[in-house]
Amino acid sequence: MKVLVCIALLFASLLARADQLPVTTELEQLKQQVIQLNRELFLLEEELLFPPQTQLAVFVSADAGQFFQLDSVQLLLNDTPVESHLYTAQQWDAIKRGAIQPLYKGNIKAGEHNLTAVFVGKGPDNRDYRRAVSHTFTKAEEAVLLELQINDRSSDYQADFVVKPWSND
Amino acid sequence: MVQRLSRTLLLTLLLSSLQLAAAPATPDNWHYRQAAWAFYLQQPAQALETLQLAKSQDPRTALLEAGLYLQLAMPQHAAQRLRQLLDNAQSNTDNTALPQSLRNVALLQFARYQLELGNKALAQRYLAQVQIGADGQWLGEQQLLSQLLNWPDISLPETPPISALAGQSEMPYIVSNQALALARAGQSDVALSWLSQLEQQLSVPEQRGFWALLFSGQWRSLRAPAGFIYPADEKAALSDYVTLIKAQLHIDRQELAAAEALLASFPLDSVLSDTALDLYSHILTEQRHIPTLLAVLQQQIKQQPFSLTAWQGATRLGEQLERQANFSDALAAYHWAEQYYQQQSSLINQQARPLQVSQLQQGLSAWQQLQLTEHNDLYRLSQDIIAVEQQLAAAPVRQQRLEQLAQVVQFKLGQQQQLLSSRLPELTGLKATLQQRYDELRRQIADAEQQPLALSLTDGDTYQQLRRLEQAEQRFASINSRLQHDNDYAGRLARLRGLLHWQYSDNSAERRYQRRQQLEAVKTALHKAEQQLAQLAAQGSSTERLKAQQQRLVELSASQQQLNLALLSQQQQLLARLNQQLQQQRSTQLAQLTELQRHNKQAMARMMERLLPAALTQAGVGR
Repeated sequence: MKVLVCIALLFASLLARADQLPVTTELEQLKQQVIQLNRELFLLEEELLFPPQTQLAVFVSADAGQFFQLDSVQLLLNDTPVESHLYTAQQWDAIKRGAIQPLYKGNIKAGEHNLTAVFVGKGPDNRDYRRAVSHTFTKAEEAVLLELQINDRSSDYQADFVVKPWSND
Repeated sequence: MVQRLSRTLLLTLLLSSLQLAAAPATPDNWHYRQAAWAFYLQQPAQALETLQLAKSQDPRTALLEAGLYLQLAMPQHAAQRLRQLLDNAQSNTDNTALPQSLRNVALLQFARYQLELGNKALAQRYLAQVQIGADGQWLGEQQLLSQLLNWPDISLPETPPISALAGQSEMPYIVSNQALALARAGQSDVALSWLSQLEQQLSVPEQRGFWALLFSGQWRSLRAPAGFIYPADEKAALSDYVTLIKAQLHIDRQELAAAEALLASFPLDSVLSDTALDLYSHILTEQRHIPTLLAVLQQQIKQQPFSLTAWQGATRLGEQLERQANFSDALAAYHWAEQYYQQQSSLINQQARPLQVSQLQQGLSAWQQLQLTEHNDLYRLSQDIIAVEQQLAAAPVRQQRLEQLAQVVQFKLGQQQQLLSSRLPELTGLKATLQQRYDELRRQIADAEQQPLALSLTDGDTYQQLRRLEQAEQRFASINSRLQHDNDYAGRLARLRGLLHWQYSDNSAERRYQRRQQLEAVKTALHKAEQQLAQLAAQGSSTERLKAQQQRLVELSASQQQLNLALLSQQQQLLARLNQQLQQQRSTQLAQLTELQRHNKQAMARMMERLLPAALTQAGVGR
């Protein structure tokens, strides 16, 4: 009989029971309030610290990423370094899976600017690889959102680096 | 299992979006892909925040949101989102409808949640809506949920569905449940046969680890027809679980030797070793293998501190010796058990002190740790307290951000005020002056165009010359009436008049051009002044916006403080509940120990009754 109880308990661990999930409505509501508070705070930060009239945001993404393994990115704005990032395996994996990394957000004046991104990593055959890509753009009233894309180029089995502007409509 | 499904749900959603990488980034998927970044970096709260900022909320986004709510231990919000999604999906047949595979995930998740709440009818309703496609994806999860809902009246196929569910991770659970159901129905031989087949399936050597495949991005190969590849620890646990069921069935069939053979080689480091030891001690008791049983009982006492099994084991040691008629050893064992119970009571009293929040992550006593591990409700309470603590720990950072923003707003407001007070009067005066000059010039031009000759001949050199010419003409006219023959003078005067007309025409065009140039310059200056004034006016409206933002920051700050108080209060309530439940556990265990001590004392008395006459006899002989 006791043995049966043991097995019953074992199987019961697979069975979900109502009392295993205490109704924590109040706690959930509090968590939701925290989420809302964070969201409102984020929106206010965007409006006040990075208004569209001056905002420049840069993102990193990859398509497949078979011909290049990203180790680091350095970002230069008008030849001045503004951001650099060293990637962990987890971060590079996330990018390869389709995630977009928000790399940089800052404020710039209206007018013409030049952005240079220097990619360092391993290319085909695990060789050291360093490539730079530049992009000239004009800052006006709208926020400037730029995506640094790392694409696989199957024609010569090399990585292709592209700066792609986004429209913030 | 719930976590497993929610994790699967999230990964399925995100991995199904891998194709997004190839697709151009659009406003629709920015937030989705940025949320993926936060998700992969184990930041579900940030992922949710990013996702909720998306301008358009498509069904896929809603599903991911529900998954993230689950990861944040917010099942009610997840259920609410899933319900909305499923209700919308029913009425939505256009292109924005949820794909069937994702709809199945939502249905399964929602059905499971309803089952956990005890709403079996609702769970059944949603489970019935799952439509498994030709690829069989989610079939295992569907069948397992169906078993949980209908237990013990589950459907039993003719043969174990091992090949039918080869690609499904749930296959071993489904088959073992079916075997249990068969055993309940009195078909334990069939059940044993099914379990043996399952055991063979589990022993197939794996080529690459589950996680290795998962993180190498070869997700699809995890569901290859050859079978699901389990992580080593899950595979070992599954194998041990099947062994335990087989042993149980052998015991039911009174095939104790077969059960013993299975359990004798059961791994000691298995997560199920406690249950195995329990079964093993039962068999040994039945078989009266006393020396081995004593070793097993000692092992249980050592391996399972503060457990009823171990405490019962302590008494059972004496009982086994008593069964062997080894009364003096039995008495010694009962004595040892008595000391053991006292020691356990003392340890429980020492270690069951009320908990503080800081102790939950580090600093739990062995007894407290054991209670949290063994009791799901206690574990959930501790996790809730830790979650609230994390929220409270994040509050100072949030407050700092709020204060920084308040400073920014104050600075911007000051800057604008200064600009308005200094520039506005200056620009208003300039605009008025320019406007006046503009009007004057326009009037002059208009007049000149209406009366070009009169206007230009009212002053200046041309006027003087014309006056002198007219005087000369008048004089010549009076002379000419007396002197009949001087046509020469008349010709000269006519040439002079012609010359003056020519000069006038030449000068007036130049003057008109100059006035128009002046008018244009004034107009440009006036436009510029108006623009600057408009900019200042815009600054004025931006001041309104800044003031609104300032007000919002004050409100947020107040909300944050209220929220902190509510969180603190909630944490205290949860902690009080946890401590209360721990104290209940303590009281229950102490009562169990008291009962065992009473039973043990009775046994000791019994032994002494047995041993005393012999001792008295020996003493008498000696005297």
